[in-house]
Amino acid sequence: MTEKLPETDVVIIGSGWAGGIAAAELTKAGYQVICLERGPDRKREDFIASKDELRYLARHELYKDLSDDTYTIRNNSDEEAIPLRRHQTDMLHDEGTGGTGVHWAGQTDRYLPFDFTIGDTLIEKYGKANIPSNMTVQNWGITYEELEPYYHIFEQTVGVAGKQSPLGAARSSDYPNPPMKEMPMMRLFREAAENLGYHPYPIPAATMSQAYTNPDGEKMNACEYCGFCSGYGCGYGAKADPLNTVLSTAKKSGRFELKNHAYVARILYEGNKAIGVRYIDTQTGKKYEQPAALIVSAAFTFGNTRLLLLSGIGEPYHPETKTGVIGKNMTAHYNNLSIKAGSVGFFNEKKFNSYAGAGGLGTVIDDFNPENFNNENADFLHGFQLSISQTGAGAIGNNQVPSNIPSWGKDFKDASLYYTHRNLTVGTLNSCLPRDHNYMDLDPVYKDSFGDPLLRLTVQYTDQERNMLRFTNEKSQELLQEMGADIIDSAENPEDIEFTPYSVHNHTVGGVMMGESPYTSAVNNYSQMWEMDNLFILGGSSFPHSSCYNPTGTIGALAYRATERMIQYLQSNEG
Amino acid sequence: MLTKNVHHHHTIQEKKWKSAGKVTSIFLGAFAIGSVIGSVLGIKTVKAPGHKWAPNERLFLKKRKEFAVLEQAVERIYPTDQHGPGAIQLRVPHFIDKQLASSWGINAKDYRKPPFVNEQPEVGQSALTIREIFMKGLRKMNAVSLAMYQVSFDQASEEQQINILKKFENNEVELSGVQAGSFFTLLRETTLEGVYADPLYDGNKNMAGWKMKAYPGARYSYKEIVEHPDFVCLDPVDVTRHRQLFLEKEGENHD
Repeated sequence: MTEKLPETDVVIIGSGWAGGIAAAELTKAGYQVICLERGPDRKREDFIASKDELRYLARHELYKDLSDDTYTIRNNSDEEAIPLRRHQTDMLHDEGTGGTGVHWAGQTDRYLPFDFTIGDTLIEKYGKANIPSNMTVQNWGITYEELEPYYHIFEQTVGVAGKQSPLGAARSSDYPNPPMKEMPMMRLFREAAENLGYHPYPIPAATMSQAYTNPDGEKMNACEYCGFCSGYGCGYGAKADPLNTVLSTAKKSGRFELKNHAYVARILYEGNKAIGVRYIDTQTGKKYEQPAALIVSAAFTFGNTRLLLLSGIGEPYHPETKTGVIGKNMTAHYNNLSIKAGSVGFFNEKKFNSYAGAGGLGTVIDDFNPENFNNENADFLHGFQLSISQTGAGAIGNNQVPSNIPSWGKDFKDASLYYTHRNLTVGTLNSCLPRDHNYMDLDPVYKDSFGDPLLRLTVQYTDQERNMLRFTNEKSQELLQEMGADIIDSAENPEDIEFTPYSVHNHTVGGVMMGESPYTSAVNNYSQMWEMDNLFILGGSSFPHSSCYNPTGTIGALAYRATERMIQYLQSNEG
Repeated sequence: MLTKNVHHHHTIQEKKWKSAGKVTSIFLGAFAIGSVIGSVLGIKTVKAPGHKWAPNERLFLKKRKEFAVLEQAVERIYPTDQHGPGAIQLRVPHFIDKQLASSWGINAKDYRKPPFVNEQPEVGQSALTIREIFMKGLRKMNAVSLAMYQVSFDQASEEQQINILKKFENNEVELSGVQAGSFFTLLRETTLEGVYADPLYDGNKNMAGWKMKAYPGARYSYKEIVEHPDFVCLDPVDVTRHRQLFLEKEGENHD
């Protein structure tokens, strides 16, 4: 039995950054909003005294519960996929109020003008002959200039601490807060980078460099640099998250209702109009139908893609015929190619206060982004960032030893204690360009707890990724050498690297990509379904490719812009 | 005479384990002896003479022998040395025991729906629970020790224990349902967790793991020291103390 509930103006699926922004803007505009969140409710108070590395990082407290549903994984269409059964990194997305925005690091970047018109710029830079025929890069249907004002709004909302990158995209305004403090290890990185002719700058971060009140009147406290940030919620209210910004704003309107443990199984529609959603209260098993004039899905890249496939909305991508778009152009900062693929340097003469830090605290160079980096003759396209990041090294996670030392026993203990405060990682953030053989569809074998098929990820790395990793290893090693490291090891070996369950990352984008035309994309540049005016699909799922920047800034900017079209739709609907 | 019998029994048990494949209710040799005596005398509790056993300390591993194998294995991974205590003194075996008793031990957050396709899977693809993997691994350690050195794992010399652990690490031991090397990786990770997790979980006794590392734990703020050019060594604060300090600072209304 499905109970049909009274109609509301707007239903939002998911309460992370994208859903939270829509909730804030639509309630401020006077509309009634119901937000369906599949995970539990959370408040800042839940994170007081949560400085517990075992619970939050090692046992993945704030990462998706995989028991009801997960993803299956394979490298090519001839293989049977296997499920990702168990967390293998601290890099998956979350469920619960605020979504992954609760445990994020706060790093808030912008994409480049180059990225939004990549269908043209990549050819201009490298020549058509050098773009592989199965590389499905395409324009986003929007320019950086069109999106810039919305980057500004998001940065104001989350109080980004930063300083303009000398090489970054043009900005209409300064960051709302001055940069975070510079730790000695950041200074060491900065000086080494300058010696090598690079242009280091502080990572723009939504951790508060000073007490801050955002334009909606939401107050945040100054960061304490406590070192429990990325992977944790902030008990001090000093990291912007959806709880202390957009969801708080939505609640103050009196027009916002959040329902937790509400798992949306289908978007319902009649012809070209979405009419509501069907969801299950996962604590009672009861099914509900919630009708709405406008529906926003903001359920992360995986959730958005799967929900459209399950609901039969849009044309699924078919890898054989290369037709269809839902599931197409999946890209990511895969752990073993990017996020966890840096180099570590061991220092005999220097010790660092590695235990301190904040999620987005660090220093970065952008000299290798495709607008600055003359790699026309290199064996890979696009670019990457290199950084030192000081999120606060925990005691469980920080047991680095040089690769010639065993990983357990007397020598390990001795070396791991010696190097605890004597190791620094130069991390890399590599762009990822789409291929026609990397996509998402529904798995024919594995099901979720409600009997629906799991999402299947098919990804195979190519020489493009391996060549870039070879190059980034070289560059991160050079930086560590300049910083004075005595021993340097890279985390990943590019020669034999492949997509595995370990690779899956919460910076996965695509699947419901935006673009210039309904024939080549799923949504327009307002993340509005081409064939369904009252259905908006927000989040990284809109990205046609993954650049060398963290995605949240762009997710936020696109969401703010999309809400303007939603309001227009609702206004015209009333008339 | 007794020693000889024990060894004889071990050999039989080991064969049974091998043929039994997946799960066996018969346990380590010393216990088989105890069980035999116990059943003859009608005594249900089994206690090896000369060993202290405080059953309330443990939640999951009920048998002294299993625990003794675990103790020696984790001590070899993180030994006592000039820097300070090893895994046993830090209560890592108790930490692991309680973790196995927790929802983590039964893979509560993992996707457990069939089919499980790999025959020799890593931990992440195994149909076995974490508990089962530990039990299987510890039993096998003992069996390998008996086969190689004719003594139980906990009675073997350090060198012998290290040799056995290396065989696990290098996948030179066959465990049904999970790769030995992957079990070893899990054991190593869990050992380090027990050394360095907050003392809430019963490892890292007296924060001695943190003290060896000069890790300050859950301190309220580093605002004043982040720009300090030198290493700053601070006394560790655990989560329990942190909470008290936080509430003193911000008031009880936050709790």
